Amino acid sequence: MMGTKPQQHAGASHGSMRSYVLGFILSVVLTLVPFGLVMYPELGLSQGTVLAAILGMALLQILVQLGFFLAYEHPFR
Amino acid sequence: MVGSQRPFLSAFFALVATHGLHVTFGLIWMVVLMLQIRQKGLTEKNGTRLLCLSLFWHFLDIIWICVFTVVYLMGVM
Repeated sequence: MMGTKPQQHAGASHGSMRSYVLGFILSVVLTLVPFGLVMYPELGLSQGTVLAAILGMALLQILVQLGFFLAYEHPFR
Repeated sequence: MVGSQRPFLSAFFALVATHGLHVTFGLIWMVVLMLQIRQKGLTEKNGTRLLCLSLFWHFLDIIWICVFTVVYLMGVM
């Protein structure tokens, strides 16, 4: 078949670059902080606190990735 | 499960290696798709493939959040 169909912008919005950058920064922070909390027990936080923090931040990061990345590529119409 | 026990080590290698294999496969898919789009343009077929890859890739990343949190971080707490 000759030629291609014109570009379809189905689902891609032009403001999404900012969404990806912000989502990326949030993901990095939500990864580094839990690693830091576990790697530096000298901070003096209790095990329970650290556990709650890393689980909470894992959940947050999942939501960030769903909202800032996946939602842009697969928007509900 | 403590980081020095056998079940942990089995889980670690199984999960991380399996995840790594999926990531590798996804990267190959990504490169091939990029070449296809460069060659044939963003056709409807390529658009569909891109959406499928995005679902695969983001799902993998979300699983990784869970793996590093439970296996890596909780494994050494």
